[in-house]
Amino acid sequence: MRVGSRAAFLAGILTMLALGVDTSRLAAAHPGAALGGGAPWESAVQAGAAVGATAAGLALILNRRVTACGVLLALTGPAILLAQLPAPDAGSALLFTAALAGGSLAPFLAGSAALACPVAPMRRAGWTIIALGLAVAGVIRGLLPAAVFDPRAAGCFSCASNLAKVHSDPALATALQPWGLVLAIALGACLAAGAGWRLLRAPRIVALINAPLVLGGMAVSLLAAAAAAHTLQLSTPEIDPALRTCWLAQCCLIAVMAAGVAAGGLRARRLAGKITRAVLTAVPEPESLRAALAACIGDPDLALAFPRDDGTVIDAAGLQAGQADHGLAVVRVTRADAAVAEIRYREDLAGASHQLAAAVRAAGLAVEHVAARVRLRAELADLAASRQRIVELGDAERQRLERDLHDGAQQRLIALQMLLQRAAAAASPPVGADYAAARRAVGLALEELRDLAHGIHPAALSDGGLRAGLQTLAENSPVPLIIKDAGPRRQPAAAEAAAYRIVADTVSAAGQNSTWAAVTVTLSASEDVLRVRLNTAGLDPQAGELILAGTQDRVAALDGSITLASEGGQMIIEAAIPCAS
Amino acid sequence: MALLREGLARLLGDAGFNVAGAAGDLPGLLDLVDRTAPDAALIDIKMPPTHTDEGLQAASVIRQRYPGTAVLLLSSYLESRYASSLLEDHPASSGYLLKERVYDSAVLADALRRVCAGECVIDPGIVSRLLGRSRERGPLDELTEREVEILGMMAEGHSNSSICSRLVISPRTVESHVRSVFMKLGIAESPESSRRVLAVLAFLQA
Repeated sequence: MRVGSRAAFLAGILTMLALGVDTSRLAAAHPGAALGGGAPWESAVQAGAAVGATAAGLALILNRRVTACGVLLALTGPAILLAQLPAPDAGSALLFTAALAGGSLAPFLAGSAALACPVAPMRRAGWTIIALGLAVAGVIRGLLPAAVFDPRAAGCFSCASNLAKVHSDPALATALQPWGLVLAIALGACLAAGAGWRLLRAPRIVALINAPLVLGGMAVSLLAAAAAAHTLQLSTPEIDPALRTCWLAQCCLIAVMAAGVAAGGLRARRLAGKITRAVLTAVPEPESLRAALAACIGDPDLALAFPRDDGTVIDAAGLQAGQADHGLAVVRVTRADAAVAEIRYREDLAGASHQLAAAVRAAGLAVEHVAARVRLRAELADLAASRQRIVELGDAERQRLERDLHDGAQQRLIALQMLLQRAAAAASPPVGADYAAARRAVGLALEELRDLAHGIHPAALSDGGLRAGLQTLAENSPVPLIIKDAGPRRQPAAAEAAAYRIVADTVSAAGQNSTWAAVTVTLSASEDVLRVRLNTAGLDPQAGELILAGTQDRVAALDGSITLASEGGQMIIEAAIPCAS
Repeated sequence: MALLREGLARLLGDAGFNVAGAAGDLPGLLDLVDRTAPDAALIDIKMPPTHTDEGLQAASVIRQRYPGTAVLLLSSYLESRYASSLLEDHPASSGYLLKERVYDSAVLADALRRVCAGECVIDPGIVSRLLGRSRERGPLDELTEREVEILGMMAEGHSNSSICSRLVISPRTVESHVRSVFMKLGIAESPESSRRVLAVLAFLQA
């Protein structure tokens, strides 16, 4: 609650307390003349109900924006005081008139508050019942009889004057009485039934949180109907013990409603405390924070979504999560006017949203932390994907270059060879040493071109797969390269290229190292991981480190790993390359 | 590609061959072979559409459907795998030559004549590379140096008489070496020509 709201809340409660004490004093001075008064505990119950209802209503309005329900509950407090006022000796003409007109409102206001409680979306029928109930209590049983009632004519000379009187018509007042009572019975029942129906249709958690408010209001409405039925049977309009007991029961129930609202607030606050502790004791994973919020609001599918700077939205796992679906309520968590996160949950749980609001306030720091973490992870994933794309692009480019060399320059050199040959055959006198030198030069150019193309990208690797690539490598290898292949025929090109590069680097290191007698490569693949194991017959940790340094970036770009170990005079290089396509 | 094709046709014409036709892709080639029933088809391993190993498939199809037509595969790659996969399926009347050999009409003509005669021919470059490679110990290690040399020449497609004139040894000596090679490689009694191919395959795949 903000400072202004807090002041308004306190002022409302203090006013109600003062009025309640004063009303109790007046009622106690004139026992039997009104519903109020009685034993001290009875006065205390009534004043407590009045203050509690107003306090709860104000709290709902100020804190949770549950406006209609809050307003009705807040108005129930003054209405209780009006009902308590002793009719003839209300103290002033204004109070007397107000008591005449509004004396029956309290139970209907409480019943309406129960019906308006936001456990489910409110239909027009609900508002109609509330309007009719307040009209019956306020007009047919309040203003209309007051307008034709003249206290002097009725023989009450000590009464204050009736400010609402239009003209005196005791007959009309008597005639209105049964109609008002019958309508009160009907609408009391309607209010109770409507509130009950809405409560049954609400999600369990929402029903649970609002049960005291709704059930209390339903009971108050039913008691109002019962009281009206009882009054209908009385021969003279008087306040008998049954009506007084009924009124006390209604006051108790209104106090229960107020207590229910207070308990809901306390519960939310306790939950907030719990979440705060959880946040302070453990840095939450996105999923555990999500689960905590989901448990708090009662929607297992509650989702966290995090907006990114580029306008996209990601979920807790870092995957793209579009806009919230229809039928989802969205709570935005902002920090310095920038959206940090969105909490998405079932719209029909909006009745529990004050709980969520409290939880989010408590978890604010955690939400922010998790949002930063999720965003960082998403960025890392983007980077990893980009690195892999760069490696793949590089491979594709090398392959294209290799093909261009073979299909372009090489073909032209071969054609040149043929032309030289034809020219020589047709020449007279016969060509000399220059011709032979030219042919040798073209031959050397062809050889170098082929080696160059092979170095840029081994065609056997892309055309025939890793095994074919390694066999070609074995044909050129300075040391025996023994291939043990248990892998499937083809793997994604990037994985094949990485595995080939590791073996090729090892073989070329072996060529420069006279202590390595042979290299054995074992290929295996399982669960979308290509495993390459290299055993070199001979140890040279420095060369091993160099091989690692030259290949680990490429392997890491594919989210793989490469390790170096030595075992019984052998060096072992092991690489695991994921190859899920 | 067309440039090379035309040049090659003229070169072969000059060398005394009768060129039946030229084709730019696999359907065209098969159609040409079907119409003209040539003694041999000279095929580039790279062909449309993917330019990888369509030529190898073409050679395989031709050897299967037109047994009277020998195939000589031209490739840019100094690799044994294409040669060995060609010979595995169709050991007789097929050959694998590096593309750049074609400028030397003598080499090309020699290779063509030998595949037409039912022998298999492997590019000398590949043979010498295989001879020079490092490998695990295997049946080839049982051969003497001279026997390996003779096996290499067999792989290149040389007949016994050609080998004895090249090495300047007597035909009887060559025959005894060849027999020894067959025995050491475990190649059972069978017609001489297929034993030669099996020996060459063993050499390629060792």
